[in-house]
Amino acid sequence: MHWQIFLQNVFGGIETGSLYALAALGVVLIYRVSDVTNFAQGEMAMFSTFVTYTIWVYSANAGFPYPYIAAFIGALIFSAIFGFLIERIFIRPTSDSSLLGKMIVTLGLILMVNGSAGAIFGTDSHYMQRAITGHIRFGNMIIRPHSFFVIGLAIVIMLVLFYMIKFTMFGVAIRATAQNDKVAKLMGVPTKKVTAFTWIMATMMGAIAGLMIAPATNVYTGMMADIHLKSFIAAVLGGFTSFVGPVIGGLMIGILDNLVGYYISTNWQTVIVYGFLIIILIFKPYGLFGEIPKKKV
Amino acid sequence: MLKLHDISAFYGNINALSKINLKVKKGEIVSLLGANGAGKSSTLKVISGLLEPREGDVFFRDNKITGMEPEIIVDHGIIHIPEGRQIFPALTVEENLKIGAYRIRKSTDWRDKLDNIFEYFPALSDRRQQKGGTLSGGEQQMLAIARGLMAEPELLMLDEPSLGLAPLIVKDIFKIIKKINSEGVTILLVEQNANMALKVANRAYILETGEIVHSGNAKDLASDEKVKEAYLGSTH
Repeated sequence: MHWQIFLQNVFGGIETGSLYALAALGVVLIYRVSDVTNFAQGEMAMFSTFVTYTIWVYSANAGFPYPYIAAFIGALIFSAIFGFLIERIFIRPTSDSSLLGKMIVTLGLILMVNGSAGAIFGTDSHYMQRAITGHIRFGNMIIRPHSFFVIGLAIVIMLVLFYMIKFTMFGVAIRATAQNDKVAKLMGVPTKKVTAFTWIMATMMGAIAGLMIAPATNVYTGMMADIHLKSFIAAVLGGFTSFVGPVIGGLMIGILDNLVGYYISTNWQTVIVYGFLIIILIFKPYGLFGEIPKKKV
Repeated sequence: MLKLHDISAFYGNINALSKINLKVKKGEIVSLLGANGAGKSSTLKVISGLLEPREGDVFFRDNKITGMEPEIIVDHGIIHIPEGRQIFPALTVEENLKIGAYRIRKSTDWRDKLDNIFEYFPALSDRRQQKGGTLSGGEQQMLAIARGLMAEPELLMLDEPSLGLAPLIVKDIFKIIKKINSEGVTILLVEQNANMALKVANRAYILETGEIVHSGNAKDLASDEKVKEAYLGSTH
């Protein structure tokens, strides 16, 4: 039945879309607080996924009963430390440089992270297990419980993040730092800590996105290329100045991507998704939910 | 309470302050007067940690705070309300006030302070959910002061609170400054509106190209012929 296939594609789109959204939120969070466009977000997520994969394999070989859980917790811990170190070593020392300079730093990080991943983990492609294995049939629809896990996890992470940003003192501190870090300091906000924290959170969100997509892409040095690109499209589509925008953008890109791939052609998939972005940008230059940026003082 | 000892500061090679010595006693209102570029704002920036002095020291309640990070200086009880209001335009009035309470977040619930703040600034209480950027200039200045008060400062430093505001609102702002002071907050006030500033202040310092050229009792300065001529203009 056609509608079932349609629904299955939409559902699949929501699944990948929620991962685009997670990755995009990480990019937007960093961009807003530290004025840095982190082009290396995808590669950092790839590296974290390799570490996660390694933990999974080792703990399975060592006979640990829940290797996936060990890997998941390992991913969170490693990516938190990873994000902290990247901010401290590469981002903080260059925080006074120009926007272009900061971009070059994160572009350089792509090469460094990708190169070291190849050197440490090799260039082979590895199978990674799903969080929940198996599948369920509804008529003609085949749905994996893993998809529910991915969507549910993404929703929980986003809700926690939105609650924190909207209602907690630290969340207001993040938004204040994003708007005017000098005045935030004058109110007692430790803006350096806020910046470090956003890098940690964004890197963790990237790592989770990587771990969740790994069963579909396999674990290899180029695994994040597509999701990273799409997450940027999602962020631009939704608007870099909003936190809700990238989520909606991510879901739209995910669904559109799947439908175009199924009904039109997988060859034209990326072209059409890009075309869609460009059309939106013609009418909404700052994205669907973006505001015209106010000059920082 | 506050003491600046031989402070010199530079922006690159430009000398902003040379050998500034200044004292503020507990409970006082002290005004810093002078023309544009005389070093008034730079003095506040040195105190609040935004500008690191090349020489000299800042003491606050006998602690040396020279060169500390601004957020640490806030913890000591000094709040600097910068020039040009600079509220957070995309945060609501309440959120602006909430972030003001960052210093006291562990000891006090910021909501408990709102009633007290709205007593000073009744106009803000009708606009709690409005974005800061949508307020009028006068309201934004009130919000900037209110946000500073949320931190329960011991020393409140205001940089040109009257700048660009209508005379009636300026009067209100100065009334509020007096009231804040009468409730125990020490105030260091930077102003170009010398008439007003001398009226509310106990003492004043007059800066010229980074140096203190006159200082003394506000009343004496207001009646000093030289000061009148140079700073109080024809309105007097």
